[in-house]
Amino acid sequence: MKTMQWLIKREFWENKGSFVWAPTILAGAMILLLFITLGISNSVHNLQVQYSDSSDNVDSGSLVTSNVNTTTDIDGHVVHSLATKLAETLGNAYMGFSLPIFLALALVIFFYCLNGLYDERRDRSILFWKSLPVSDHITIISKLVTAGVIIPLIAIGIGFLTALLALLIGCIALSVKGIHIFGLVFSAPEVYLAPIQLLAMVPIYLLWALPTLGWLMMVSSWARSKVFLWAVGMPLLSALLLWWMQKIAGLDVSVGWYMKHIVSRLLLSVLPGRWSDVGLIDPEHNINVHHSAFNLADTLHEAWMSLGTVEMWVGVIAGLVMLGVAVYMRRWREQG
Amino acid sequence: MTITWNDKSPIYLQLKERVVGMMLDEVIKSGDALPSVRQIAAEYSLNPITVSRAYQELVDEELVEKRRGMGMYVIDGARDKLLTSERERFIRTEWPALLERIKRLGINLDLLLSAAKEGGAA
Amino acid sequence: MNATDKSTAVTATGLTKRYGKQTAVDNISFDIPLGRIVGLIGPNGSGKTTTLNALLGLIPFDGQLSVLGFDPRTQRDALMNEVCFIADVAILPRWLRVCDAIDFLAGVHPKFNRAKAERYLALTKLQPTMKVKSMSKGMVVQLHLALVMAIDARLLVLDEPTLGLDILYRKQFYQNLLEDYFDEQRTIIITTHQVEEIETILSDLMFIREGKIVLSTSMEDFAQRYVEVMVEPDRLAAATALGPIDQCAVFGKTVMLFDGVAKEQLQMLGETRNPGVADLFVATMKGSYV
Repeated sequence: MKTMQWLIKREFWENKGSFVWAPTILAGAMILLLFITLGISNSVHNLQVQYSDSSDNVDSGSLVTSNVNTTTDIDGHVVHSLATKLAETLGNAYMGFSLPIFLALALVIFFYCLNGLYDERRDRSILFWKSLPVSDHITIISKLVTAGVIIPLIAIGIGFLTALLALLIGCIALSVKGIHIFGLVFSAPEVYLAPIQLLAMVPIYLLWALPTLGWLMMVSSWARSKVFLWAVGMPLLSALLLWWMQKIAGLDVSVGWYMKHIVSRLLLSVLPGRWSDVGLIDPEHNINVHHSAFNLADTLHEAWMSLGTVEMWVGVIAGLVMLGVAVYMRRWREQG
Repeated sequence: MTITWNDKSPIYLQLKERVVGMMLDEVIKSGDALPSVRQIAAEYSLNPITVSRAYQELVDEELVEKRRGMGMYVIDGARDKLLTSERERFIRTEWPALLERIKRLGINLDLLLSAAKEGGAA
Repeated sequence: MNATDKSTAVTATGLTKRYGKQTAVDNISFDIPLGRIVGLIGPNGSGKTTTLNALLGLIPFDGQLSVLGFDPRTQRDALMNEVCFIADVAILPRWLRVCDAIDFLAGVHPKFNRAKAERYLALTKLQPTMKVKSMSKGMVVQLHLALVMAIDARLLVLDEPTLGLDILYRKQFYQNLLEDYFDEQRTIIITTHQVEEIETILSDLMFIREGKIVLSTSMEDFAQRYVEVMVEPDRLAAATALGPIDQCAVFGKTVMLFDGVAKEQLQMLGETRNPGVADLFVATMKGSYV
């Protein structure tokens, strides 16, 4: 639909700063930090090496580089397996470098949903949008698509490029020290699979995030002021109320359950990977061999498995209902 | 153009008078097209209906005719017709009123006329 | 009367809007024929904006309303293809660029004519890459008007379109509207506080006060109906007997306003003049400001 395309462009024009510039600057800062860290560790390392070399096998000749690379001629086998291990780890986990970018974009999505409908009422630009033949439900859908698909795609794009750049820099830094894993890393399928795995998660992300997207947009369509307080305050206050009822009135309510399944779903579903919290994967049934901290394959698996949970679908329905309320509010509410 | 319309008569009549004035002064000649209703409306900030009414008056007085698809055109001999009717109006209503005022002020009519002649009035 | 009447621009029957206990619009009925320029004049809080909002399907209401044959409650999407409105000065989003606005409208509005918009903009000082936030109020209105005039809408609603603009922009606004946009197929509804500015442009007039229509007339009838007389002191009694709708004292003389009394009759009482819309407004609305 042509209209949808233009509506999404509109969202982009309105929010270019937070959608593109902010994460790019963050990525730049992270790369810079990487450079600095490598630079510092490099100089420290060299000093150490030179110090230790002077006392060890001086006539080996090949010790001037780093002490990870023990000796190439004597124990080539040892060196090779170490490099392979390094390449494997880096290839698997390199995307983890961009975690701050993904988290930042989750924040962007949060505030985008929270402020969108509220801002257009506040500066009265809604009267301009409403003077055009674009219905309220199409408008809300365009905002949903922007929040749940477009921004995540941008995040993946910037995140991937940043992580790749970091990987490259890492490999170059190691090469300088004599550990050449460039070829190993860039021939590893995990490196190329990672962005695809992330893309495969986007539909699940959207479905899982619906309760938060719906809640925020609903509050945004309705609150007269202080949107953030309403959006965050109401669930927290209700939890507090429950806790009070539990403690004082002795009511048999599980505040913990409420916090986890209602409040957290309402407010935090925009964080990527939250579906894993539901405890879908039994460690014993883990089909993946690699057990590094940041495991995309696991997350992806859990993501698609979550489609089978009640949790997911209750959230989707709740989210859609709240979005419906947002459409209703935008349609009928007095804008003057 | 900012015109101040007076509050004595309806605007469409005042507009008609303006056009009549232009015809008398030969700013608009026989066979000329009158500016379109839209142009006049925009220039004088008037509703097109008002302008149409003024033009209709001119048509009714047979000074102007509507040519289909082309607009309003001044009829040949319109000026002469106008001169005749304006002269008649002057003699019938304006002159007596002027005369009365001259008498009221006690101005000598003969002196006034000879001064006018000497002044080179046409 | 048909509920959805296509032969008029707007037909309202028993239009009512209540906010809790307060009635903003109180059971009003009116017709706006096609091809007219209607001024909806009233003090703040009179219900004029509420009426317009109802007309544009922005708020729910009671009663019947037919705008270009559509019910704004149930057929708003279809209605918005034929109606355009300028709600207030400077409601264009601040981040919007001129070129983007044109592209957006071209992509979203089936009746938008890009070439026209560009032509209108060429007459202004606006550049394609300018953002609304860097424009003066007058320039924003120029942009908004250029966009609106390029839309082939059958009804245009202008709610205080020249509020806060300086005289040059105001004059240009109406001139552009009359020169390039208005024709017999289109209808315009304007509300404004600057009554004197638009009174010659109007073909019809509606006064609204406290949610009720207190006057609804064409400007032709208006010129016939209302006469103001500066009454000679010795004719005062005779004048009063004719039932003036308003009077006040000016330089020791009494000025009276009459509705529907023959001008010839009134000319015998003193000097007559045609009151302007502002004069009638003040006379009718006296008491609204107390």
